[in-house]
Amino acid sequence: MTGGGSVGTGGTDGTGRSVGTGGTDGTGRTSGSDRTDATGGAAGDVVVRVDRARCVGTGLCAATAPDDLALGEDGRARARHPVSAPGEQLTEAAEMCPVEAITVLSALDGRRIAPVL
Amino acid sequence: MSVEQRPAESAPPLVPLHCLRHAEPGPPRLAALPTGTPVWLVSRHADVRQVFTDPRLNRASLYTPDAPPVSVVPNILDDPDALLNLDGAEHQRLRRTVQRAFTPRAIARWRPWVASVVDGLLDDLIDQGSPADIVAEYTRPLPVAVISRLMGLDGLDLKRLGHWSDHALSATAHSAGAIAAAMGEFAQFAAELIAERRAAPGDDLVSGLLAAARESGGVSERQLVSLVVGLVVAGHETTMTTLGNAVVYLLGDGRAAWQRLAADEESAGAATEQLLRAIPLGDTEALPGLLRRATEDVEIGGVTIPAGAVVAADAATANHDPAVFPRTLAEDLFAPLGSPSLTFGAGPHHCLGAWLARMELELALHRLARRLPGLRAAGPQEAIVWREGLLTRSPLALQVAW
Ligand code: HEM
Ligand code: SF4
Repeated sequence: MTGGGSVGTGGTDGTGRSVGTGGTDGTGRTSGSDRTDATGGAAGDVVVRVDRARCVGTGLCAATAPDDLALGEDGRARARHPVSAPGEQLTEAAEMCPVEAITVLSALDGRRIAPVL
Repeated sequence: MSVEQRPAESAPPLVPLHCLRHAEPGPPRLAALPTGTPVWLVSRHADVRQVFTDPRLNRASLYTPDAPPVSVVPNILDDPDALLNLDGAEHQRLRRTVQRAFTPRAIARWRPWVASVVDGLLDDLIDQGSPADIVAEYTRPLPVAVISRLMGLDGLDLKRLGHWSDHALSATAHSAGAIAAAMGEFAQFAAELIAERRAAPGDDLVSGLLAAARESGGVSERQLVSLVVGLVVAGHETTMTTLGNAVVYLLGDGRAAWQRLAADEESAGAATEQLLRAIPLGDTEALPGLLRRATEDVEIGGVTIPAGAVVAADAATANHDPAVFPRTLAEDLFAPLGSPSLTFGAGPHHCLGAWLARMELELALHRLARRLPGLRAAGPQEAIVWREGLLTRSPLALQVAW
């Protein structure tokens, strides 16, 4: 019997997309976060959402992206800022979350940036 | 089978796991482990969750030189190099080598393949004909096949695997010497596998975790060996146990749900969550809960637990906490849970394989009910022979007919 796909932790995700920790930040953008828009925020700003009912409090995200995510006293993660700058750590936190409780959205148009489904 | 069988007249027959009675949840209270070590039993839903997530309670301190004994006969859970027994940065480093392969998205990609394994086993079961032992033909081979494929263990000797697994989670079934010998062989197997995959990496989990460990650095060889052993055991033993005990319930007291289980995958998914919540993996005598030790004074549910004390999180009782889960299995097997159950723990050690286990159980139960709508237990519940002396308890064999 054959099947499944790759179960490696790096490499491809079975659809040919890279899911390794290196390389791009998963958004495909490599620059642009330092451009500012009219409101003073960076054009590439993102909103970090944590589904607190789903969060099981592993703390992985807070360790991965400590600038943007913190584990509260109630053992659930929360976003530290209303908007964040995008980055590899944040993308990794969203992709690594064991229960997919984190989504990173574009502040501009609400488009999902991570995790890539 | 090498697992201990009880003498016929020693005690009344064991009841199936879904029939166990659970204490009324209450504030933490002092009791003792089988070693005599005092232990704080924690049983309310919110308190159990706190034990799992509060950084002042951890696993590593259970195995420091000053720690009191927590196992009469140590088994795989007492291995200080195991993922479960690392904490903090060291734990995260090792967990990261495998976490990406176990997210809901990563596991969902395996669904068609797992479904095809389920179908293949059902074809064989039906070809062979009624009556049959559903443990030997279905509930045991499925999780073994799945973890074998993920880890690339083609050609693994299933007798040897069975022998190792029986010893890995032994409570009273085996002597310390027998466990140490079996775990030594198991570690040897893992070390050879690691050497093999280093030389010729494939697309399997072991190759993936080795690559990730090499990239991150700081992961010891012993941790890698223990992780491989732990994945093999955790990857099939608990899922097999849950599936076997779920079938005991569904062909017995819960038979009324069979038709709906066959109806659609969503119903089977909801039922799987309820079964995982309500049917514990084993009896509380061997292990009153999942253990932690306080590294400083910590208040839980209004009680101050002193630094150095051992704490047992009784997830089975918390999963029946009427304040959170007011309804029983029989009342509504298909009701959404409402609050997350604590079956897979929480916090840093939240079960790595939770999504894999859920998917296997859901597919296995749904397709079993669909293909064999008339499936029934061939003998009385009281006659079930159990695997005993382990931390988990499930039927050793289960005769079914259709
Ligand atoms: C119904 C099936 C399962 C149940 C009920 C279950 C339950 C649990 C629980 C309660 C824990 C946490 C223990 C603690 O905090 O003290 C845990 C940890 C773990 N489980 Fe599972 N498990 C199941 C299936 C699996 C599968 C299929 C795998 C592997 C592929 C797996 C791998 C692990 C690992 C590696 C850990 C340790 C995680 C860590 O320490 O970071 N489990 N499991
Ligand atoms: S990684 Fe996910 S589950 Fe873990 S604390 Fe962060 S949001 Fe919660």
